[in-house]
Amino acid sequence: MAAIKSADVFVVDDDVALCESISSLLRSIGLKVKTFSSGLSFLNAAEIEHPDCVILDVRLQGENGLDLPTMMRSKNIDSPVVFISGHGDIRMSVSAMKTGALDFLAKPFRDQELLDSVAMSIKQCNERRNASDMLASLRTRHSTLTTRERQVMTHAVNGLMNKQIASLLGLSEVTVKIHRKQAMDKMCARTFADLVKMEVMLYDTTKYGS
Amino acid sequence: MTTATDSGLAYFLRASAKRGVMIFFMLVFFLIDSIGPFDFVVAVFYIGVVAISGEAGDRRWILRVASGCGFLTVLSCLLFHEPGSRYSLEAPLATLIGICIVAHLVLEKKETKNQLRFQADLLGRSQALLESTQNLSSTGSISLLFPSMDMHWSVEAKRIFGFDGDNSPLISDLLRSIHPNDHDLVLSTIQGLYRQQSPAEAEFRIILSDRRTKIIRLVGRPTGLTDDLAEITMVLIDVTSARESEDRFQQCQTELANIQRVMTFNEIIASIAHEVNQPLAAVVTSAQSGLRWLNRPTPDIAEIDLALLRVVEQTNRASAFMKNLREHSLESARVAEPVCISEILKSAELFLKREARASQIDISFHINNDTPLVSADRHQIQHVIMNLVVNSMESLSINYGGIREVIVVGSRSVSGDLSVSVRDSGAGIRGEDLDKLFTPFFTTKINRVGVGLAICRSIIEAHGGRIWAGSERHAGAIFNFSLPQLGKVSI
Repeated sequence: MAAIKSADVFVVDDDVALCESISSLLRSIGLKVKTFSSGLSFLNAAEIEHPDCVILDVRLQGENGLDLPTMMRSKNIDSPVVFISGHGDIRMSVSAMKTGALDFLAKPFRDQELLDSVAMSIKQCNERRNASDMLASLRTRHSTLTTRERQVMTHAVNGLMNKQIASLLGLSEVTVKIHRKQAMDKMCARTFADLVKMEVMLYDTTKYGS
Repeated sequence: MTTATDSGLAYFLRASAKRGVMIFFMLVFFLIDSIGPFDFVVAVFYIGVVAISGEAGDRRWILRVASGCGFLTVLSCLLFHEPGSRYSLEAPLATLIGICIVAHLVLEKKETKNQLRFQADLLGRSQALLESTQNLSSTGSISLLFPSMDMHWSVEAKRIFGFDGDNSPLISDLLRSIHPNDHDLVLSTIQGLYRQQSPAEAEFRIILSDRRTKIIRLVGRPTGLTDDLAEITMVLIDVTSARESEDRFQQCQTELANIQRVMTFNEIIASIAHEVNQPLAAVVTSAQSGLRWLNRPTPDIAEIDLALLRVVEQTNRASAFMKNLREHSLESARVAEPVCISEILKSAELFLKREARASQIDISFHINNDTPLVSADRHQIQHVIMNLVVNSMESLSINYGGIREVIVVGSRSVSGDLSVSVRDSGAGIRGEDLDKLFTPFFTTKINRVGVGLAICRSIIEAHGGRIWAGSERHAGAIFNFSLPQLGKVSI
């Protein structure tokens, strides 16, 4: 998670005039903007700052803008990308969308089109960040559980009854009930269903990695 | 094989019978000579036998017969004639001399005959070689005698033209099988060979009796000329398959060039679009952001100022690019020099004939002698002509069933200017398309950009000329352009 955030939107285009125009347009609605004329300088900055949206020209001086999303992923930059192109044909827009881009705009575009895309991008970014914030707090809560509490939680979520868990772990049924109550309290689960959902989220993220 | 053996045997039997008869006569004459009173008459008999000995054998046989006759003469003289007799020595001596002379003559005749047979063999062999060579190379030859118009055809020549039978075809047969449009060409080539007495070449089509068409290359040379007799030899080469593969090659190349042209054009368009789009995008975006800054509760004058400055700057950038583009366009590359249109038309004719043949189109060029010189860029005018003719040929697509003809005419207009027209026998141009023909990116063809005629117009108009098109229903399309004659307008 970016600690310092100097800009919401990064604009990458080798044409300085267009960079400034887009910057001016976005600033007029109160966004913070940084412009870059090369893919490399953009990657270096984005690695630190993780912008909410990247506006990327397909044709950059000496490099292909379509390659940048892959490079961004390899550097763990998850900012949504909006491509802009001077001579966009169907083939190019298809390959742009295949890189995982959020949108593809042909120059010259209408201001509202660009602003809509940027807004969507920021929204998507926020949602993604909220989800990852939630997961982080879930993990913190999960780490406060004792080994016994975790075992009981896992078995309970898997559908075993208290009696079965007790015999499996060699505990009395009352002790299992206490551990179960403790686990639900610590995980801030209001109902047992909440606990199941939390376990699934934790399981998925440990399984697939986040 | 059997027949060869049989005929060999028959020959042997015949020769042996002849020899037997000769020996029999020699003995009969010996008896007559020995016992009869006919001294000199017998000499004639012996000489007669020697004279016909050549019929029944070779050199050795003739010598044997001669010496046999001589021996018998001497023998009968020694045995039966008394030494005192008046004719006893004169007659045998005369007989011997006679035999010698006749034997000598017969031998010589035999020798000549052998030589003749050898020559005939040689001739036969070289004739066979010639025939197989002609057959393998699809090359026939014809000789033509003037003024009798007698012709001699080689076997292969007859085969190429599809004539069978032993009779030599006549000049009228030859002319009848020639494609009607090439008729005059062949006739004038043959006449030229006869009149100018210098070698000539031509290529023409013939139509066989089964409607097949062949392309024939003719190379002719006058071979003999006396006061009132002339002979020309013509070699006829069947070049149909060679021309067909050449045509296919040419077609592939044309297609490739076409694809390349379209691709290059697309590249150019893409790069121009990029160069224009970039400032245009900046202008639009700046203007819109300026509006947004203006419409804020407190307008930000500094930002509005910057945005407007960018608008001005980027507009200038775009117009500078367009100016640069114009400077690199046709206009700046044009060279003006006196140009004779007939040269351009002739070189175009050479190039286009092949393409026309591949598409089975008859193309003809008519260049009037009084066409004026014009001041022009040779290559650009060539481009215009090629473009118009290729367009016309394309209008006669391979499926077009009517007359397939393109006529190019170069002439002098009433005002003294140069006028060139290209007319085709295709389906013509639809009325609503006629106005749009010369506008860029208008095309009725697939995979075309539609700038050919637009470029033609810009070239012709830059030369101070005019270009226009017309079309009559069912009479094809006609494209014309005119260029001012040299000295009338300077470009």
